[in-house]
Amino acid sequence: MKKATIILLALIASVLSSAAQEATYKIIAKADTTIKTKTGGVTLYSRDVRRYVYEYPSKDADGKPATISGVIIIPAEIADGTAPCDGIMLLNRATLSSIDDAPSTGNAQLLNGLIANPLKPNYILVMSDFIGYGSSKDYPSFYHSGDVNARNSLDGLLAAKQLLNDEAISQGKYLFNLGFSQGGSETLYVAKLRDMEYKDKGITFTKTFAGGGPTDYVVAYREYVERDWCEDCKDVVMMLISAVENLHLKIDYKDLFKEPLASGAKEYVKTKSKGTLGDYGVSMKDSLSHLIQPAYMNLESDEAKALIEELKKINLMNGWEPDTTQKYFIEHSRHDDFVPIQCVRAIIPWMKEKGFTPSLVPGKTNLQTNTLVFKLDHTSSAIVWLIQTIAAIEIWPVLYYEGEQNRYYHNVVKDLNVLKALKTLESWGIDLRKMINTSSARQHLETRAVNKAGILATIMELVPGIKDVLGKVDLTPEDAEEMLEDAGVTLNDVLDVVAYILFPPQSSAARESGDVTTPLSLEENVEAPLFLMRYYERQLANWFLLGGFDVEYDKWGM
Amino acid sequence: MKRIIICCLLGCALSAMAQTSEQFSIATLNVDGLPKKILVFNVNADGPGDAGSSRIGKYLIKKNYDLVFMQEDFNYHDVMKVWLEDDYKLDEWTGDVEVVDHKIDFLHLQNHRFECDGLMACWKNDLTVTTAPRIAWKQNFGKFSHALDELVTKGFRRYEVTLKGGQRIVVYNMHMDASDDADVDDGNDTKDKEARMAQWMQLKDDILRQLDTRPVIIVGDVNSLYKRDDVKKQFIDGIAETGLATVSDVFIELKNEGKYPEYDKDAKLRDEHLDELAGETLDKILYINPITGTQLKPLSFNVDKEGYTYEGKPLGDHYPVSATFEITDRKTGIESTPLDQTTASGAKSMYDLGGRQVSHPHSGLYIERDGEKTNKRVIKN
Repeated sequence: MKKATIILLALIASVLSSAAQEATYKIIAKADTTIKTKTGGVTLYSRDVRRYVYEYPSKDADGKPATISGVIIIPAEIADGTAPCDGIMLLNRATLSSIDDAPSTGNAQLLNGLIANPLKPNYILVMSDFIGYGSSKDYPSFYHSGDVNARNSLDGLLAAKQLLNDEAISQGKYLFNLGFSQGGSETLYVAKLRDMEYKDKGITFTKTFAGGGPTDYVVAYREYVERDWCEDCKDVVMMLISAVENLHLKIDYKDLFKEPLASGAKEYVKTKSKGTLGDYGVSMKDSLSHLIQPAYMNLESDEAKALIEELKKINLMNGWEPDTTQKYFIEHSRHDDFVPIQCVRAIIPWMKEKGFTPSLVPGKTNLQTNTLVFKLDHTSSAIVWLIQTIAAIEIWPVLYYEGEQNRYYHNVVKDLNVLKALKTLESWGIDLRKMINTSSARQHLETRAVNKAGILATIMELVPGIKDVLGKVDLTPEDAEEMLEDAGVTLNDVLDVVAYILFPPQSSAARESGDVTTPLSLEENVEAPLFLMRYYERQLANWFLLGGFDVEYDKWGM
Repeated sequence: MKRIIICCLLGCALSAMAQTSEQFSIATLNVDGLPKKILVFNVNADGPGDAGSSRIGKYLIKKNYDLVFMQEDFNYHDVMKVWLEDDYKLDEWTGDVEVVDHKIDFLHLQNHRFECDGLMACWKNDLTVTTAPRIAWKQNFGKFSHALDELVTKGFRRYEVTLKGGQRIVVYNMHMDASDDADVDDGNDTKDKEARMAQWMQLKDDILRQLDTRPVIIVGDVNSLYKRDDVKKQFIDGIAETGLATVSDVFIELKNEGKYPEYDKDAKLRDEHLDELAGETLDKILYINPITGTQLKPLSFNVDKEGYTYEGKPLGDHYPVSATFEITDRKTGIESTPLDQTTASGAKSMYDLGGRQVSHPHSGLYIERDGEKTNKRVIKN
């Protein structure tokens, strides 16, 4: 054999070997089994699946190699090749109460709902345990301290894709990135790491669905401190402990926490159990000043400022140049009692600056937002997020074809705005103009100087009784203004609506007689995809309702 | 190779037993038989429906074509066929696209495809037709958009026809992928065009694979225009280059002075631009004459606007396209002799197709040898 040939073969072997090392894995368990979606101990749905528990290489908080575990759940029909696979859902798990709750243990019962639900999504679910759980339980838990879990998630995805290839299981066309609460935050870190690093490893998300996440650590910390109260103080304490441990902050727990928590913090690092925090005096609902030392409850103190500087370094937006071709859905309840709405109110304007356009309408822009959810707590809004996410993913192959938005659907969403939505309501017999005193409002508008900054709130004031209406659902006009703004409802949209309501183009006589030419231009067939998505959502909502969980569909916004 | 020669010779021989020339008419039309609505989707709101489809049936019976090939014969087959079944034999119908009659997985609509292809044919009772299995296109583009081509199983079907006078032809009926006008406007129909061209290539392979001495007619809604689809080079010239046959479009030959519109890959042509193309239609009739075999000659071509309208509008999406042909034997050099006159042929020696000398030939094809001169002779009963 010639020398050149030998060198070439050696090079090929080397390349193949390095490619194989890129994403290796080890199957820990493989079983054909049945998963159950449970909430409140009640089984809502079950589905036959093939389940792999596997280990793969990733990194710890210091960037050193670590073996992480995860789980792959494949609907039985896909595993046995009797149904086509639509794609993969990379699910970033939410906060765990115990080390025994890692996804690979099979205890993530509500999250099973992404696969085990009446819509029977033909998707594969991939979930990392994240470092500190499962096979890496000897490491500290990494909780809202940067992108380590995100790296675990993405490495787990690469390994899972290789495993699926090796097992000859179809992976479908689509790849969704999703998570709620801690998972919501991790999901956006996954998106960031994908843009900055894993894009070059061939990862492109079809869409990212993030809900209820503390997407801005600094804002979250400030909000918790200023409120001095939290629905789940344990999560706040876990976040602070994780920052100290993983960022190697030179903060003594005695300076950060009051006793007995200060003495118990190290114990928690070992057990990772919320029960441990309970043993050291941390209750669910409490005043934070009972737990945290005054220096860290005063945002003007040097200690708090130093901590904020550390948090800024690892903040989501720090060092992220987002790829605006990636699509996002961000959802957050106005009345989230665990994670302050201000977190998402911080990231949406930042994303706007980076080239994203918020919109309530799914598929209209690269950033779909649902910030109109109100009066739902963290847990309830998780159900809303879950249902909207499942419905959207389920219908995706109908709305998109070969990477392109279905033209009929595109025609619906491209021009859909508040005014069109209002006209749609009108076509259904709901005429807002008849519901408000337009003449007094018109008079009010004409006699009042309205400045641009306050125009939304001013307009809301114009409409008699709107304060009362909003008050009944714990919203102020200012709340409504912020919610609309985050939902991409522009000033022009509002002015169009106001003009339409107050200065209608058609005569009042025609309206009174009911002889109004309908302004609805949307044809039935172009409404169909939206109809189908809503149908899926309703079906899921009813499913939860049957399970005894009222998801209060009327409070969902879009 | 030897087998091909023998087949050709046999084909010639059988042709020699038929009339040497006869004429026939053929039509193709898209009957637009999709329902007006599927679930909540308005897929064909302006389609003919029951009443219009009945009118199409009535129209066809008046026209009295020898062969009729249809596309999109889905939901209104029954009302159309009542007009046809006395004078025509009908091909098997592949079904409708009614949701209620099918088991549909509404949760995974992306996986659903109606099995029907919408292809239908009918032929006069005195014609003999055998059908080959329906063949689906290997490549399509468009599920819930791009003209919804993947909602049904579009493809082609081959028919082997023996005409009244005994001449034999092959007909291919088909429905190819469409381009949505809006996609054309946006320059977003590249993949539709790719799918269509792949379908032309699949068709070419099937035709060439089975080509013998019989001429072939291609009819159907091919959704192709020469300016936007390179059918001339890829299909027509592609077949000619094999040296086995020639291909011609009847419209081009009779109505466009034999000139094919020049292909322009950037052309944005919607259906409504057809008038600008001197009458070219999306429905076409092409014919293929094998180099060795019987020959077709088109006598007329017609886009039938008269009689296919109701209240000023066409009954279906497209006007029917029809043609008449004359089929004639090519001079084959084969002589024919009745069995009882074999000795009168005066042959010095006679050989069968296996090269064996025979002294008492039965009916069939033989080679005569007279010194250095050879001759093909058919001995008839």
